[in-house]
Amino acid sequence: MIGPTTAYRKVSLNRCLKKLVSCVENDLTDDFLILLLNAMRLVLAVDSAYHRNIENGDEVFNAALVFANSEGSNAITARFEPVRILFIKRQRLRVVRGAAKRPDVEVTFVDTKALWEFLLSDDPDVFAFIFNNKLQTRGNLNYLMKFGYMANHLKSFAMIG
Amino acid sequence: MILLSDKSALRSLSERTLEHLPRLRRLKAEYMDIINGTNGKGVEVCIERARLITESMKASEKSDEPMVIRRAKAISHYLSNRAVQFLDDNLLAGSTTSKAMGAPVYPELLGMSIWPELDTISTRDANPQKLSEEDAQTLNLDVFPYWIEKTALERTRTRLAEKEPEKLVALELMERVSFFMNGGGATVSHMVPNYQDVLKKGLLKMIEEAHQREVACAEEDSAAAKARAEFYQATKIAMHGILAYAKRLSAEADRLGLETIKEVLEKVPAHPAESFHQAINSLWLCHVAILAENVNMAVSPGRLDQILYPYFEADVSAGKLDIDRALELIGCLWLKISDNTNLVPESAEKMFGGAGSVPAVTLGGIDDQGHDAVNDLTYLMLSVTDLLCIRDPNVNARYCDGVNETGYLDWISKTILHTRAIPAIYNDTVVVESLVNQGVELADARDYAIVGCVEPTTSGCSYAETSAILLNLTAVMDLTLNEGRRPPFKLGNRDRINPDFVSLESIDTFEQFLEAFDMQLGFLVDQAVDLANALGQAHCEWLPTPLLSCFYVGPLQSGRDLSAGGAKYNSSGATHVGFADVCDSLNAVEAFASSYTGDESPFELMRDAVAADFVGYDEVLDFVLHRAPKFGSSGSKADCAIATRNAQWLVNRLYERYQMKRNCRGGAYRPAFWTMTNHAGLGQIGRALPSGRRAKEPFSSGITPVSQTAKDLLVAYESIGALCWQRRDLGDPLYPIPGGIALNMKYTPVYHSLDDVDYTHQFGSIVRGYFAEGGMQVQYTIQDYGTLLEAKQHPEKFPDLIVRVSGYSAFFKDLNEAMQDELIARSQYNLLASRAVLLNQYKGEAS
Repeated sequence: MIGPTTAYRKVSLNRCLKKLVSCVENDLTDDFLILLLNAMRLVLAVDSAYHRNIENGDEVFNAALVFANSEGSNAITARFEPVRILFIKRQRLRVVRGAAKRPDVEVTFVDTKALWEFLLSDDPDVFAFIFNNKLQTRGNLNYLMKFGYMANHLKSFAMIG
Repeated sequence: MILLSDKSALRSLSERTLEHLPRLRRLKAEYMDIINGTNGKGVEVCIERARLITESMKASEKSDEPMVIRRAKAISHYLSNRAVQFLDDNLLAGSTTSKAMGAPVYPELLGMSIWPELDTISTRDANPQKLSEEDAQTLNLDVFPYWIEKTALERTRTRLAEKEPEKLVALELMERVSFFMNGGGATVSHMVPNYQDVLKKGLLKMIEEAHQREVACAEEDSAAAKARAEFYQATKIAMHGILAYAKRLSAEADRLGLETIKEVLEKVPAHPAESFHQAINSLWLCHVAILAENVNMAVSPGRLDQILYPYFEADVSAGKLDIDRALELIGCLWLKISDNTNLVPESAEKMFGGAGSVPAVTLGGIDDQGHDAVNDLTYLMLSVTDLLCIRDPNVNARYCDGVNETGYLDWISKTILHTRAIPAIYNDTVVVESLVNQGVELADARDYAIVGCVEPTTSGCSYAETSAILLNLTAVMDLTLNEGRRPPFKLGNRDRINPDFVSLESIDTFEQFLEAFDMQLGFLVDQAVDLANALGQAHCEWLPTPLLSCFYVGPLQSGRDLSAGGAKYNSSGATHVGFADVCDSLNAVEAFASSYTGDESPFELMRDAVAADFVGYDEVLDFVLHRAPKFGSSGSKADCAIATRNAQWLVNRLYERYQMKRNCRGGAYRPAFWTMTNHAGLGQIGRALPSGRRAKEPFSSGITPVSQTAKDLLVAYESIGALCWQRRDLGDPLYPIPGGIALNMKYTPVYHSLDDVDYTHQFGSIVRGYFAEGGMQVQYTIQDYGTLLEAKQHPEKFPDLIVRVSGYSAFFKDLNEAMQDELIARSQYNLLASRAVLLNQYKGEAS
C-alpha cells in the first residue's frame, strides 16, 4: 500500500471535520479556510462519489483557485491537479500556502466571516458582498461556482448548519 | 372585422367568462397550481436541453466542422431526441421543456450560476425550482464541466486577455453588478422573429430554398462563398431538427388517439398552414425550436393579431371557426407561451426575482401602409388576456390616435381595469417616428412590435439585442461626487475607478459640475459599449444562431448569420436605471449651489452630506427634499424649467453618446429607460443621492418620476412626453429615446364603477392626452396602497394578484421585498381628480 491507508484517512477526516465544525460554530478564526480545504482534500481521498467531482471517467478537473485576504497576506492556493504514484495517476487537491501565478480565479475577502458566508451560508447575499467590497473576484467565476458546490456538499459530511 | 363588426357581438364577447371555456378554465387552474406550488405542483428545472446539446457538442469537439454547423447539429440533436409529451389537454402540440412549467438550462450563458445551489434550489424560500438529485448530478458531472471555459463570458475574458487587456476593466466593472450589466452574457435573445414565411411556405420549402442557395455558393470559389455555403447547410440541419420534433410529436399524438392534433402535425410546420389551428401550432413549434437555440429571455412572438389573421379570416369565412373555438385556441397559445420560466440562482432571485420569460405579444395599431390594423383577433386576444390574467405573454397594445377607433382604446382601457395591469399601451405616432429617425424604412417602422419589456423593434427584420446594456446612472453620480471613486469599490488595490476626473474643489458652477458628470457618464458608457461589443464578437464566433437566422429577413438572403450582422437592421439597446433619481440629483445640486451662501464649496458640502447618508446634514436634506425642483412635478415656473432642462439634457446626452457608437454588427446603440426589477434590487445596495434619496431605498422605476414627488397626474404625463418627442424651434423634432420607455403609473381602483363607460372613457382620454404630449408608452397597476400592503403581509390571500413591474407583469407574491416595497410606495393617482393620493396621507387616514 502506498500512502496512508483509508482507515487512517478517515480518522484524519473526522478530526478535521470536528475542528472545522468547532471553528464555524465558535469564532471563525483564520484557520477556517485551511480546515475547509483540508476537509475537502480528505473527503476527496476517502469518498469515491465525492471524488467524481474532480475525476469522472476521462474528465478531470484541473484548476488553481487562490484565496487571499485584502492585505494580500496569508494567501492560499487550492490546486486541483493529477498526481502519479507508481502506475496510478489520480486527481487530487493540493493545498499550498501562497498565491499561485495565473490562477483560474482569485478571491479576495475582508475577513474569514465574509468568506464563510460566501461559501457556506444557507442564505448568501452575494451582491451585498460584492458591493460592500467584502469580497472581490478576478478570473473565471465558473471555477468558483464549482468550488462552491463542492464546499456546500461538504456540509453533509460535517453536519454544518 | 368579420365576427365582431357590430356592438352586440362585442358585448357578447365582453360577457364571456372562463365558465364558457371549460378547457381554458382547467388549464388555468393547473397553471396557477404550478405558480403557487399547490397540489404537489411547481416550477421544475429542465436539464434535457443542456444534456443533449452538451452531448452533441462533446461529440463534435474534435471535428474540423465550423462552429455554425456544430451548433446546428447540436440543436437538431436536441430537437430530434427530446421527450415528446402531451401533459394536459392543451390543443397545441409541443412544449419548451419536458416539464409542465420548466426552467431550461443554458450552460453556454449563465446556467452555471446555479452550480453552488444544485442541492438547495428545490427547497429555497424564494421561488424554488425543483431539481431531482439525478439531474443535479448530471449537471454537476456531465454538463457544467464541459462549459466551464466555454461560456460567452469566459470566451470574452480569454479574448480580451489575449488581444485587448486594457478592456478587462470593463469586465471587472460588469462583474461588480452595480455599474452596468451586459445582456451578451445571459440575455442576448431579446428579439421578434419573422413567422410569416414559415406559415406561408412551410419548412420544406424554406429548406429547399436554402439548398438552392447553398448550391449556388458552390459555383463560386472563394472563402466567403464557402462560409455562406456552410451557413446554408447549418440552417438546413437546424430546420430538419424542427421537422424531426414535429414528426415524433405526431406519432405520439397518434398513439394517444389525439386525432385533431395529429392531423395538424401532419401538415405543419413542414407545409404551409391552411387553418387557424395549423397556423397557431406551426408558429408555436417554431417558437419552441428558437428557444432550443436561444435563451428563453424575451423571445417575443410579435404581432400575432396580424400574423394569424389571414388564417382566422379564411376559417371564419368558410364557417369552420367561431368565437369560442378561436378564444380556446388563443388561450391555449397563451398558456403554451407561459410554459417556461428563467433559471435563476437564489442571489439573483433576491435581487431581480419574479419575472417570467417575458415573451411580448403586440396587438393593434396601424399596418405597414398606415391604415387601421385592428381586427377581430386584436379584440379576441385582448379578451383572452382578460380572461386568463396570467403573467405571460407580456401583452402590449398599440394605439394610433386619429387612425384607430376610440372604441378600441376603450376596449384596451377596460382590459387594463379588469386585469389591473395588462396590457401596456404604445403611441404609434411617436414610436414609428423614433424608428424612422433610426434609419428604418417607414413600412417596417409601422410594422413594429415590442420586444421583452417595452422595446419597439421592426418585426422579423431587426436584430435589436435590446438588453445589450443596463447602465446604472446613479453610479455616474457617485463617480462625479467622489472624483472618479465609488467607495467602497476598488479595482484590485485601486480605489479610483476612473483615473480621469474633475476635482470638486475646482468646481465653481453647476455647469462645471455637469461637465464633470458628463465625463464620468462618457467613461461608463464607453466601458459598457466596449464590453457589449466584445460579447457580441464572442457570440458571432462561438454561439452563432443558424436556426433563429431562418426566421428573419436578411440572413437567408445574404448567407450571413444573425450574430454576424445578417439581419436587415442591426442595433443594440442600452437601458438605464435611476433616471429620475439622477435628474432630481442634478436639480438638487443646481438649486443648492445657487442658494448656498456659506463659506464652503456647496459641491463638497453636498458630497459630504451624501457620503454621510445625510446624517448630521439635516438642513441640506431639508433643502433638497422640499426646495429643489423635482422631475415630473408641478411647482414654480423656474423650478419646472430647471427640472425639464436637466431631464432633457440627460436624455439627449445619452442619445448623443450612444448614437456615436457602433455595435459589432455595424448598428447603432439605442438608449432606453426600462428597469424590470433592477431599480429595486440595485437600490438596496445603493448609496444616498443628492436628491435626498437615502441609502438602500429603491431607485425610481423606468422613466417614472420618483415615487411620492409628482402630485399632479397631468404634469407628470407632460414631463415624460416632453422627453420622448422634443419639439424644437428650428429643425425637425427630436426623438431621443428609440429604445423604448417604461412609464409605470398606479391608479386607485374604482370598485363601484369598474364597468362604468364614463370611467373607462376617461381612462382612455387621459392616455390620448399623454400621447398628444409626445408620450411613447404607459403601463398601469390598478391597486391601492392598502391592498398592496395587505398582500405583502398576507401573500396567501392574494395568490393571483398581478402587478406591473417596470416592463412586464408579475405576481406580487413572487417579487422580492424591495420590489414589493417599491410598488407600494409608487405614487397612487386618483384618475378622476388627476391628483396623487400620497402614502402619508393614506396612512394618516387609515390610522
